[in-house]
Amino acid sequence: MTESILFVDDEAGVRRSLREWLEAGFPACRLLEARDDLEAMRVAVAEREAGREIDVAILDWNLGAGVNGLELLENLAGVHPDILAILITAFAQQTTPLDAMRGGVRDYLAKGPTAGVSAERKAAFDRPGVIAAVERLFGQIRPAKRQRAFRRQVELFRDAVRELLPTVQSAALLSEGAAPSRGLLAAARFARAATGAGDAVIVLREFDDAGERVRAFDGSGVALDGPLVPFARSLAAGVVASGGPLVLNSSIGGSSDGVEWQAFEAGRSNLLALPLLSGPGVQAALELFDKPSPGFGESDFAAAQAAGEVAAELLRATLADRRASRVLADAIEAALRASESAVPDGEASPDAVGAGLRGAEGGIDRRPDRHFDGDAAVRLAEAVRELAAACGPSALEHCERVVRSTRELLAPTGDGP
Amino acid sequence: MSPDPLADVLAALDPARLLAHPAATGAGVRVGVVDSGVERETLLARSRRGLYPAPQLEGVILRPDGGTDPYDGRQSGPHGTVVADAILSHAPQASLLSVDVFGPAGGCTAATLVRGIRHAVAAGCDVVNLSLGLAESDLSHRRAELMAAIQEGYFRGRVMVAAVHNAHPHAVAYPAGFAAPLLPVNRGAFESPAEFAYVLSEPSEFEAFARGGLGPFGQTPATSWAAAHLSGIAAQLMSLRPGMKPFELKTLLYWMHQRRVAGGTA
Repeated sequence: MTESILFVDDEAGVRRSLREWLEAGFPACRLLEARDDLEAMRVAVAEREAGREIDVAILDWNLGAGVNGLELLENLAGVHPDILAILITAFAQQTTPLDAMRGGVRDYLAKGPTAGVSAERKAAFDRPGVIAAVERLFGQIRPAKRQRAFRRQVELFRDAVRELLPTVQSAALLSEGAAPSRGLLAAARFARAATGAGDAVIVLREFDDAGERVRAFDGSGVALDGPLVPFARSLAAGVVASGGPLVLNSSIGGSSDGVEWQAFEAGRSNLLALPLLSGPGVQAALELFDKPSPGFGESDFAAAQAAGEVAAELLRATLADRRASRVLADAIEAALRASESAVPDGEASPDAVGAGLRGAEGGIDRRPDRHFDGDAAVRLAEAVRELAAACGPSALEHCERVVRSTRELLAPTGDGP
Repeated sequence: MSPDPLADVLAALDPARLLAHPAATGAGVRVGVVDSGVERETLLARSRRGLYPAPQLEGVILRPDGGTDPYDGRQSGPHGTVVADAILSHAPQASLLSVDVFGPAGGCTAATLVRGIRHAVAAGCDVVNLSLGLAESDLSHRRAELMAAIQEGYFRGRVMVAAVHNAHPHAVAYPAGFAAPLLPVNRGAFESPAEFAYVLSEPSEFEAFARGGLGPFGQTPATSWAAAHLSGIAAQLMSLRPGMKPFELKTLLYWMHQRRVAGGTA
């Protein structure tokens, strides 16, 4: 985050001095100079068009040709709304501090006599005075600048997320109801061929907060119609829990003691079922049917298990992909929501939030180097002026008393921060 | 060859006599079924058919997120009900505690299994049946925790019965994999679960499977049912001698096996 300083003075010697002082005091800064208001505006517009901000302007009050520094500042602020200025002048009394502050002036440097300038603003126009004044301004500018940079990054992030989200969401949705992958079906077909089974069915059960979803697919990957029994009472649940194959070389159906036959199981002859996958929330089993008599034997176990291991790996990969899509979609949605709440319209950067928290935890932040808030000062000054206009000098005296008592209240104590 | 001075002891440990003892019903013994839940209605239907009295059955459902749900008499999968049925077929008077570690999510993690074992032990189960196991890769960093849960149960006097993998020793399942198989089961020695047989070969080589009695799953021999049969037998023996320690029970089972071998029944 590099700051930039524009200094404007019609005297070449002054500009040369300023450049030397600023280069020595702020070697990382970008320095811009102009000899009059027109050149200053050209520089300002060029910077804006290049996407760069001018943070600080050091302006001579008397720019010649009837234009003063304050008027130039108003024009500069039209191009760089966040610009703050230091006014170099021997004529500070020609404008009220309030008007100047409202325009963005945060400091004065006296070229000559300083009558009419408050004690706090009476720094001399010399190297230490300029460097100190610019440092004070940087102290005010940097948090706001970080905030603006943060907001810009968040906006870029948000735009990217908005563009990405529909793609990820549709990928997640597409995979939700997807049939088993070709690889999984190929493994099922292999098991069927290797064992001599007449048919194969893959049972897939998923469980989440929304409840249980049990689906069955034939060897072509087509979802089987008709209702399925609750997984807890199914043959598939049994083989998944036992972790091993089950062989029934008999007609399937009738009383089954604790197991309800699925519609696609009943009426079959001979069955070999084996677990494919068992984990919290996901279970799968492969069922092979209708092997001619005498049915499945020992050799079929090995073939089916080998195919099952391949199928299990493929299924794991498919489910992992689906989970990844879902997690990614959720994460992106969450990030989008977070970005919208992290930077609500008009506000807090992480620095400001941190400062607020520090204030909330430890009371008012009384550190003497705390950044001066120009807007708050303007609001206070305007309020005092309105009060004085309405109520006369006695109101001003009262305001002074309030300020004094506030100062006493906030004065550091012996054991304070 | 001098006669075996312990021959009389061995002779007294006739499995047929001990397991047929009128008091060997599992009465007073609580068996934890850490599994996929138990379907109460299925067991009641079996009891109505006179296979055993109406079961004394309680339960709990452990959720993967660490919470619990009350037992609603339903299974999360048929496996646990087959296990419970096998236990009751031996020890009809045993009270069962169904610890459903599968729950509605349908999958058992190492963390839930550890919780299930600890729950069964804390609930006062004398025998904890674990007709399930996790592969090494599924244990992850909970291997030590699972072993500690098993040891905790053992040293608190609870009999922990865990099924080895059906493909043992080519595949290893835990917690059974923490120890060599104690009592391999002779597959197909008897068709009826009531004639369940156990055989210890030398050296301890896993030999076989057992059949369950319930539904389509019970027809396929599997270590899950073998473990359940053994839990039922353990409950029978513990009802003969309440307070028997796990190592006493293991010794008794071993001697009973010796007696069976000596008697030529295996």
